[in-house]
Amino acid sequence: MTARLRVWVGGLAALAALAAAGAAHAAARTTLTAAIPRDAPPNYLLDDNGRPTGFAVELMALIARRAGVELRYRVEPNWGAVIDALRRGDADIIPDLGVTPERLREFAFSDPVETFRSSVFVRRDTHDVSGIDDLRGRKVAVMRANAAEALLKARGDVRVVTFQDFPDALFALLSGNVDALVYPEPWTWQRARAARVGDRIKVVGGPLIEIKRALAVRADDTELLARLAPAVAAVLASDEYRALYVKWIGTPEPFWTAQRVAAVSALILLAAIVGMGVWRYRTLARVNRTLTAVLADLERRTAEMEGFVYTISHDLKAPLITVGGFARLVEKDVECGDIEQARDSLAEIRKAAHGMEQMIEDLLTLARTGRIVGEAEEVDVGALVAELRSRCAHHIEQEGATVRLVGTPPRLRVDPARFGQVLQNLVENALKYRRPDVAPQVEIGAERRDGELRLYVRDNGRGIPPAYRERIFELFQRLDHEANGTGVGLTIARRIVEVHGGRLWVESEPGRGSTFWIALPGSAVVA
Amino acid sequence: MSSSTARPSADDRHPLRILLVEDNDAHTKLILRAFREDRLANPVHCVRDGEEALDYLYRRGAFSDPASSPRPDLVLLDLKLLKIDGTEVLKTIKQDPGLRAIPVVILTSSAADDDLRGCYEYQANSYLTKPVDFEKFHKMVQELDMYWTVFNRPPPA
Repeated sequence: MTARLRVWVGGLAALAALAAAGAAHAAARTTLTAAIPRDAPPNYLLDDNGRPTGFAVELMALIARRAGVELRYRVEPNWGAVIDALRRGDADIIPDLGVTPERLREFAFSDPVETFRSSVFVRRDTHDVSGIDDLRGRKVAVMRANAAEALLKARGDVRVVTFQDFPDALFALLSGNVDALVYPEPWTWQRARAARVGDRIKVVGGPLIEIKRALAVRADDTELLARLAPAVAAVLASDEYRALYVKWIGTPEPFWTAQRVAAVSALILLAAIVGMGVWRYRTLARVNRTLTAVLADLERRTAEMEGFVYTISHDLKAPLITVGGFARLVEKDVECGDIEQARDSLAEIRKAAHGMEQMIEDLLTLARTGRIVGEAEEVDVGALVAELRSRCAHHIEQEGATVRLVGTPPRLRVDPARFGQVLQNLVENALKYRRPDVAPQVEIGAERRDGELRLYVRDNGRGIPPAYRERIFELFQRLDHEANGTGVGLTIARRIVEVHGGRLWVESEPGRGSTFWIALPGSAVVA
Repeated sequence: MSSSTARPSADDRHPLRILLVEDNDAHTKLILRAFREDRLANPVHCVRDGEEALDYLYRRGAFSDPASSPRPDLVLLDLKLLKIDGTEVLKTIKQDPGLRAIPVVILTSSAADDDLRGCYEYQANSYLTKPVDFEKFHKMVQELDMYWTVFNRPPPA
């Protein structure tokens, strides 16, 4: 009983030990250590956080998931170290290694996961090399532990220079220390472009070797290879594999595809058209505004000119009719021997000629007023009035008139000569249209109203009926037959004031007197 | 009885009374000389501006006496006048039912289209421009008189 029990217990223990051993073995193999090189893009590289990534790493992750194993990476500085790690047993697997006859002696490989071709790279301006056969006796760079190293050494006709790091090999080629570089095409291109020297190298001849790449394990670890084989086959047949291949190894799709170029061209064209349209619209609007203003000004001037021409043609024709008429009458008078009558006719001719001369002079004065105004100067109205008093002293005395200044005279910024003429014209008008029985009194003063300075010339003359208050400013308009002059004085005065940016008008009480107002803008007044 | 006079058609009429509205004294003189040359004995009343013309026609102020200021049979009107323009005078005459029957002949130095158009619009009866040549002036006045005195039949009184 006791012995049977002991045997039973012993059997149980043995079974348990067996089970434990099996479990321990399985546990050791669910986490695989993969040796990878630090920097062999696109198959192996480290991302920004220092974690391994790349085609081989992602592919291995897919395979591991299917096979139900965990992965741990052992990152080595170069391929030599990677292969040593697997050889020593520090790693269980290399996810993606070139299959060469030498390696097959110590490693076992899965089905190939990709195939690279290694080609001969030379400098772009090398023209005497069109294949590996032209490199006899010349220096050719290879990477240590790369399939090409063994291949070229076996040929024996080139001087093989082995590099540990790819950039060293690449720049040895560029600097001329070696004449060629043999390395897998996609890796070389990718790294040369990343170093911005992609346009400095070229491939010559056909591919030197085609190297299949596959998962590598130690030759004696066939159990692991067998475990992984179904996962490898499944992954290779999957869409995920294709996506991965295109992502890492496929030619990157150029950003500027035909569609994109067309779309951007269309956008630029559209923007240009819209821009031109807006520019054109704005320009046109601005030109239109200018033209409208110019047109309005031109129309105003044309109307003014037409009125002017009409007046001139009419008013200058009148004395001509007189001259023509009386000239013929003089002949008749002489025929009849009527010397008295002839003298009278000649007097009419003389008067008409004189009148005409006067009109032409006045017209010239008016035309000049429109064009030429002298430099504005600071001038005191008091000084202008004093000057005016002395200039018209005779006339003032003759009429028994008084001309006086009311209040403090303002200072103006005007053309003194022209402005003096305005005041003189207004004062002479006041004397001319006086009441016969009242001594003329003329007052000159200033008021500030509605933000402008208003000068006034006030008289106690006969005044102007409302109907004539605008007409008197027209060319050759007079109110009285007996008055001297052609009727241009007020026209000139108004023109001068307008050229200074001001306005001239009259207020009047018939029978009591008139007040002529000159409103001036701030620019013509000294504050 | 008076049908044997030199003016066969005007036998039963007084000579044409003319109101001359002219602001240019020399022109007034010329027109009067032209009438005189032809020994036309028309009574011509001269006024010198538009205001006087209307005063005369409405018998205002100095013209209130019908004996010295009789109603004219014809108005000779210059356009460019002092105070009130010829066009205004024409308009006033033609808008007044009591005056509009009086023929108004514009006699001016202006041949401007606007003036012509305006005058006909306000129903001027005729538009004449003053010729520089006195012979033409003379002939115009002569024919003017002939036309309005002899050929034209005035409205019944």
